[in-house]
Amino acid sequence: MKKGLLSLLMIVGILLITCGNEPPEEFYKGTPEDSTAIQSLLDNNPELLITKDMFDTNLIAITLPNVEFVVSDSYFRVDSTIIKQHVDMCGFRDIDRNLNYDFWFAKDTTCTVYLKDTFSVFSYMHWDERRTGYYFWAGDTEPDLDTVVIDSTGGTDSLAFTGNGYRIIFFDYDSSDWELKRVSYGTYDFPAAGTDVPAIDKVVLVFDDGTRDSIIDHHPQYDTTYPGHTMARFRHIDSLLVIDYADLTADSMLFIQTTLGFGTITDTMVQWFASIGGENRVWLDGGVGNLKITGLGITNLSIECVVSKGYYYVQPEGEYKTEVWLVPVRIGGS
Amino acid sequence: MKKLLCLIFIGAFLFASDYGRISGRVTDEETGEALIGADVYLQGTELGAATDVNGEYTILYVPVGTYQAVAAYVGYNEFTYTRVIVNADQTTVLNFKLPPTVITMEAITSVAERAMIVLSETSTGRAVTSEEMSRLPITTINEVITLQAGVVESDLGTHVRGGRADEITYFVDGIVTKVPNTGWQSVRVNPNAVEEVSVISGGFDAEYGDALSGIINIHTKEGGTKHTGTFRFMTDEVFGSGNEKLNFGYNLYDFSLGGPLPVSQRLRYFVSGEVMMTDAFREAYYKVPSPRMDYRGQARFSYLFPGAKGKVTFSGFMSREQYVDWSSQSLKYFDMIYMSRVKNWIASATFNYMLTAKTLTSLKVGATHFDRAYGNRDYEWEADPDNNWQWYHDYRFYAEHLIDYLAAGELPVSHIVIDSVMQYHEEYLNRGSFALRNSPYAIEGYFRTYGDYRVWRYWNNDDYQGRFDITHAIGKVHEFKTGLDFIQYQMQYYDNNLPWVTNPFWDFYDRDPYKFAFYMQDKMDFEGLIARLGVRFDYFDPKSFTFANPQDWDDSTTVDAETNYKISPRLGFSLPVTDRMKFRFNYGQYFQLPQLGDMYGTTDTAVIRLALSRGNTIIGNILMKPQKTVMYEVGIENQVSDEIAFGFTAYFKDVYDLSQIREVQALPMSYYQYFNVDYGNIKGFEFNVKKRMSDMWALAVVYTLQFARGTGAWAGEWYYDHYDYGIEVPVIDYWLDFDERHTVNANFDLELPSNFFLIPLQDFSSSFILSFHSGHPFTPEDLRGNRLGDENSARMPGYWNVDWSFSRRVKLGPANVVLSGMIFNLFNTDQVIDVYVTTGLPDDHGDPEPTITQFVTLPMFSNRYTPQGDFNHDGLISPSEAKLDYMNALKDYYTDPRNHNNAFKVRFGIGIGF
Repeated sequence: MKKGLLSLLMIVGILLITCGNEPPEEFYKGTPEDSTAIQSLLDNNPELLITKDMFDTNLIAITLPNVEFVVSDSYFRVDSTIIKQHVDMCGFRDIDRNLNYDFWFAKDTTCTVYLKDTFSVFSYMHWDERRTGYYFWAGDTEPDLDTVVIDSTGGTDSLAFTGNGYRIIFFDYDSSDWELKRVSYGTYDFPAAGTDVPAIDKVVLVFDDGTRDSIIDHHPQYDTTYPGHTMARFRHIDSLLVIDYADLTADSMLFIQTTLGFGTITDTMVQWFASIGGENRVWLDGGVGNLKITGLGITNLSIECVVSKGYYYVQPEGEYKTEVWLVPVRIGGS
Repeated sequence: MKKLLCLIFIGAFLFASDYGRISGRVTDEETGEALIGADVYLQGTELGAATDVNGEYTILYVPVGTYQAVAAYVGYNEFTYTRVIVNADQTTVLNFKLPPTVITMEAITSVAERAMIVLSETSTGRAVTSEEMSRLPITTINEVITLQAGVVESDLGTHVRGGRADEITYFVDGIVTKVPNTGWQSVRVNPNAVEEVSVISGGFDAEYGDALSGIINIHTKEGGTKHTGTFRFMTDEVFGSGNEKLNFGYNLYDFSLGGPLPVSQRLRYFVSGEVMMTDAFREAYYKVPSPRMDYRGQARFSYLFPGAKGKVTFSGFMSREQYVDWSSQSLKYFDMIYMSRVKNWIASATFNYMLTAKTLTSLKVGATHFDRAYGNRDYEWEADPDNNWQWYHDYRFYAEHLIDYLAAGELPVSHIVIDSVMQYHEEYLNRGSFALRNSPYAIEGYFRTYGDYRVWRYWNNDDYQGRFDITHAIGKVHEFKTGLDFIQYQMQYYDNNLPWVTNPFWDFYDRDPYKFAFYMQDKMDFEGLIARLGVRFDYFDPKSFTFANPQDWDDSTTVDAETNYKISPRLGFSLPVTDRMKFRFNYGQYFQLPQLGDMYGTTDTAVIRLALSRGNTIIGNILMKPQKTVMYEVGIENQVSDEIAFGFTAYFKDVYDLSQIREVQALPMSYYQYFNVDYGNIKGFEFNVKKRMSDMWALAVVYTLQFARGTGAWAGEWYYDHYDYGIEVPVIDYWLDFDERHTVNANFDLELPSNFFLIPLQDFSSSFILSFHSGHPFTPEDLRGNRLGDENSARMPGYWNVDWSFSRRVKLGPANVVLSGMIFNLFNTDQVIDVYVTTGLPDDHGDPEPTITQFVTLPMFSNRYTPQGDFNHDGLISPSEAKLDYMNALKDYYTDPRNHNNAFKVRFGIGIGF
């Protein structure tokens, strides 16, 4: 009797355990708790949030060629004027920033966070001379162009623009906690939408002993074995580019070389700047120069490529067309 | 005169019969002599009769139900039959053998044995009582219907004897419950409210009309002489929310109360209700998210006139059914899958009165309401705390507010239809970077993850029904019955389909058609021959109109729909060979209106011109005529012992003038329209064997062999064949989509008594249903979409299934506590119900594997990059990753769990009753 009942119970138990079909595992969509935990990790790593280390409001010296008028500038009506200036110092400051997070939960319980930074900025410029141009219709037999200095007392002006920045951070769920595993480098484009924005192709960091680290825009290798640094790839948080004070000059200088990518904007049309952790901004004359490294730990190395035209034109107002690479680096040593 | 006719038609409605009869003979147990003048009566009622000179008696007009019948005669001991079951339109035979009171003894009580063969029956029907249903592993009445001979389920619906899904007419207490636009069943009554369900699949009497294939009669319970009550809770959530195999979030609560009202024993009530909620109502190979929340309530009040002269009954029923569907195309993202919300109610009053002992009149009036909203569920609105939406509230859908405008008539219909575009403006996509967001794959083109559902649709139907019957028994031979029935419809329909295009498919109509019928029939019970002869007259006025030349924008001439009428003869014979064997034959012509949506859709003068100007338009045909079936049937039934009976039935049906779409060549643009052009031919053979409950077990096996051919399984079939494949009009018939060649349903019941020797199994009952279904046909294709072979020339595999229910009753004072369980697909068999026409397999489309060169590298700042395809998380989707992701997506897309029936499911319940 008891055996019979036990057998029956066993059969029922086996049925319940073995029967039924398991639905395929859902792709992970995350929970509010996950989002909170990841947001907390982001907040605890402000150095990885784009734009934080980007703006240096100090004006720095810059040596630009003298103002020149070219023929193409003269295609204006006679009663219109254009005004150009010669800038000798510049800087910029953000005035309105909006950092958006897009949490993309995905396979294998991972989360990829897309950071999109939308902001407005003032570019500050100190000029020492302004000129205006008078001109005639092209084809006239008289002189084609003439320029007049209208102000040589100097002054400071500002130019407003908007921009977008992107960075992607990859999180993995490791047994019980979310972990920040990989980070992309960050790119910025000003204006947010437009043409004729320069494209940086490569930045080379030259250390005191002559060794180099290259950061390139893109590498087509299909797997993670590529050891170099690319802008359009993830980089493990433990293998970020390292700048050790021991590898720098005695005054902590890092030599930087830049290369512009192929496009409508060419080398002669741009100016380069570099800064570290939002400080020590320096003009890289001809795309090369020294940057003084300060600080410790993870911070952002900023490389800016600005179309020169934005500094010259007062009327009509120039556009600040720029690409910025914001490279997370780990500064080590003492 | 016209007014008088109207009054008759409006006030006189007929309903399916609620009555049966009891007849038999009372004899001396010792001598076998007839006892003249013995009383036979039904306890708790005032129904009874006295025996005649042959000792025979007949109790006419016994309401459907279960009774105790008593025979009494001076000088003899009383004899009582318990559990006497009376079915609608059937005669229950009870013969009493009374022992003389030479020795005084206690009254004799015996359980009435239900006749295994009803000699008077000429049609094919099966009545399932509430007691039988309570044992079965079923939770809805429709599951009972599908167990009957000749009934087949397909993705088109329920088919009786090879008919289309809309060829069944449903009655609830005599009220027609069918959506006229679509032919769907409009009401699903909770099982605990049902006294009996009868399925008539052939040879139905002249009192039944507007049905080509079958009649489903549902009789609700009525309060008895004693107070009764039940409550039950059934769930599968005992397994915990993490158990995705067995926990479907199913919970069912039902209750019933009935008995006499305190004011009078003649005043009876019965109320019942149920609430059902589940996370996954869709049958599939595994749990797919498809929430459903239903509730139903029913009430019936009756007053019995003194002297069993008659009865007045007021019945009411209301329900709400709402669900969100699931589709593999929108895998796991059902926010944009449509929701459906159906609300309906029935109210009816019935007055039955016996004018004389042999004349019963019945007058019934009723009204039904049906509305259905169909479209995107408005999750945002429901989630807003200000709106205080609770789980027991109705689902709210986009454009909900437009329904209020419709009801109030505050806006022109065209404004409302156009306004709905504002709510459904985001086109759903399966391509583009939008489609990648929320997709489990980095591949475009498969899963819809964005946008709105493409349809906003709303039905609102009311109807007013009436029926008057008079039944008169003439001598012992004739039972003559005649009656009238009438239905006035009020139909409103609104549809906006593909709303984000400039000229969407949109439609509305507001029509008030009516129909009435007159019938007369005679049931003649001769010695050795029972004949049923009847004739029916049906009249229909579509009350519709449209433009005479819709493509000529300057011609505003309209044309009215034509009224039509049909006369259908019915004939049936039963030839009893012995009291345990009979032959039967029946012949009938049956007519049924097409789905009224096929007549009215896109014909209103406000929509037809715009519709015709957009192209690819299907319009209704207001000139359609009723569809027709001619059916012959022969059968033999034989009870071979006290406990075992079997029967054979063969039937043949020709179906004419079925609705189907055809292309109309016209200028400036051709279009599609419904016509009475399809044909069907169905032949079948049914075999059943039954062993009644004895020695603690019972068995019933039903086998159906069926051949269903035709030129269309549903009214839109040719349109899609033509649109998708360029198929021309069929010139020969072919196996219909629901042609199921072999169907077996076997029911094994086990009932252990209270004194069973194993105490834990005392009062244990159990029921198994084993079924086998051979595969349905499909048309094979190659991977380029070319059809291979004739229409429906290949077959899917068949499948078998076992469901099991069990219960254990425990006496607890005056109440019974019942512990119960149900298991569906006990052996977890893989039951394929749909396949890919390219392979004949349920989960493999046969698409070839692409080469890796078809994939490109996607860097992380590309708008086509998604982390779903970046397996090594390096920020680059390489071609090999893209191909792997593509293959995974392909497999997921084609592994459609709805191509299979449900897997093993188990539910447990606890209930109490008194």
